[in-house]
Amino acid sequence: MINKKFNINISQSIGDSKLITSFKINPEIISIFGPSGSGKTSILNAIAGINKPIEGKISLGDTIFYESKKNINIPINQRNIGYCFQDERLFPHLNVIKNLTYNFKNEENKNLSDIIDVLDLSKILKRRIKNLSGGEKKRVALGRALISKSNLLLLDEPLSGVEKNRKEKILCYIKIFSKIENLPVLYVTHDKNEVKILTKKIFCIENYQLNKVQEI
Amino acid sequence: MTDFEISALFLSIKIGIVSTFIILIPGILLAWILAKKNFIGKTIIDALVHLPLVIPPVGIGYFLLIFFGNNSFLGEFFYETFGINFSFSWIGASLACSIMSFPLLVRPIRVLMEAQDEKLAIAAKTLGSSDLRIFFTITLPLSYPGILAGFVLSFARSIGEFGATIAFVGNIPGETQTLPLALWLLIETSNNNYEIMRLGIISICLAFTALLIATSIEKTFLRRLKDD
Repeated sequence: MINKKFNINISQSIGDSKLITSFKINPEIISIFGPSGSGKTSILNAIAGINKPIEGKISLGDTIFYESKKNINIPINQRNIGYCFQDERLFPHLNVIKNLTYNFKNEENKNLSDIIDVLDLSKILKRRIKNLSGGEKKRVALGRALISKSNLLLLDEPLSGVEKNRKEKILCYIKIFSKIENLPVLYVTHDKNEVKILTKKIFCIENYQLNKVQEI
Repeated sequence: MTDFEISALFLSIKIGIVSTFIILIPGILLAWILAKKNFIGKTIIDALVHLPLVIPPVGIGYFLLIFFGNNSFLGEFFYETFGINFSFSWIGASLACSIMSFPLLVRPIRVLMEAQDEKLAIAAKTLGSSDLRIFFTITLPLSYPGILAGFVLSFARSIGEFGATIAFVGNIPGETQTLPLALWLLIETSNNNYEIMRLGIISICLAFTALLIATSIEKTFLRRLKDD
């Protein structure tokens, strides 16, 4: 099995302040809490390679994504990360199925039908993005990240706006998916109920420092 | 219609189509570079692209004659290498029209590319896409309306081109005598107002038909895109 231990130890600018992020996790789900503007999304963006930290190191298994001392900074498209953005970022000229399978190159994906089923997307596969509701867009964005065959999942409030009765089923699937695929998952949310279902490993940003919290 | 009118009409259509296709791919690439890339000298390239809008067309025709004429280095190179003779030929007329209509092709494409949300490209990158794949799967499809608008404007400009064409390739019946040049010849030499009026109306009809066809293609194309 591939080593997928995730290790981050970076500092980055948040406005005029400096946010310190430091933790190590196995292939498991952790949740990141914090007030709006505290830098939750900035941490995910740094991991994905969208923002460059001031200094530090980010690695997944034997792959170093970023290391300031050695001047290593792997481009976004080579990090092999599944990222569900808070603002979805679906491609408006493609329909749902084409958005889901955007990075497929003619190969089959064994999880595709499961994910379509769990996220209840089968009836809207041919629909264009502009004709989707907010909750539907969120589900498609989450589906695209799950299907992306990544080594690390970054989920930024993926279920905000999704109907309550669907949430539990989706969260349970994410939990199983992480286990089966041996994936580290960083889950950003404001909803304590989502966290209770997902994980007991919770991190909270306080005073520009990411701290581990045992329980919420 | 007389042979004189038919010849000018078909030559205008041929030169309009050829000149627009010549600049289509370079126009899209240049629009992409100007919209998405920052580099030293960008302002100069930008100004050069728009130069045909402000330079007198006859001036452009004169420069083309200097650089692509029979006795010029480029003119000789193209003739000896590819057998292409620009001077006093419809190919030269197409080149003149291409240059004159280039800014009208680039501008709408560039505007649309600049308006595209960069976050979409970042999302595509997180999915493992290279810059080239992003160009073909995101940037280009989202620019189709601009490409169509640019194509129509460029074609319309080409079929009305006069100054650069007459200065570069002259007014040769059947070879470079497009509708505007034929109309000018009649105004200069004919006393028959009816004849002049007929050719004027043919010019208007051609431009109007071209715009109608272009608009209907654009509508059909965009409807297909929406339904896809």
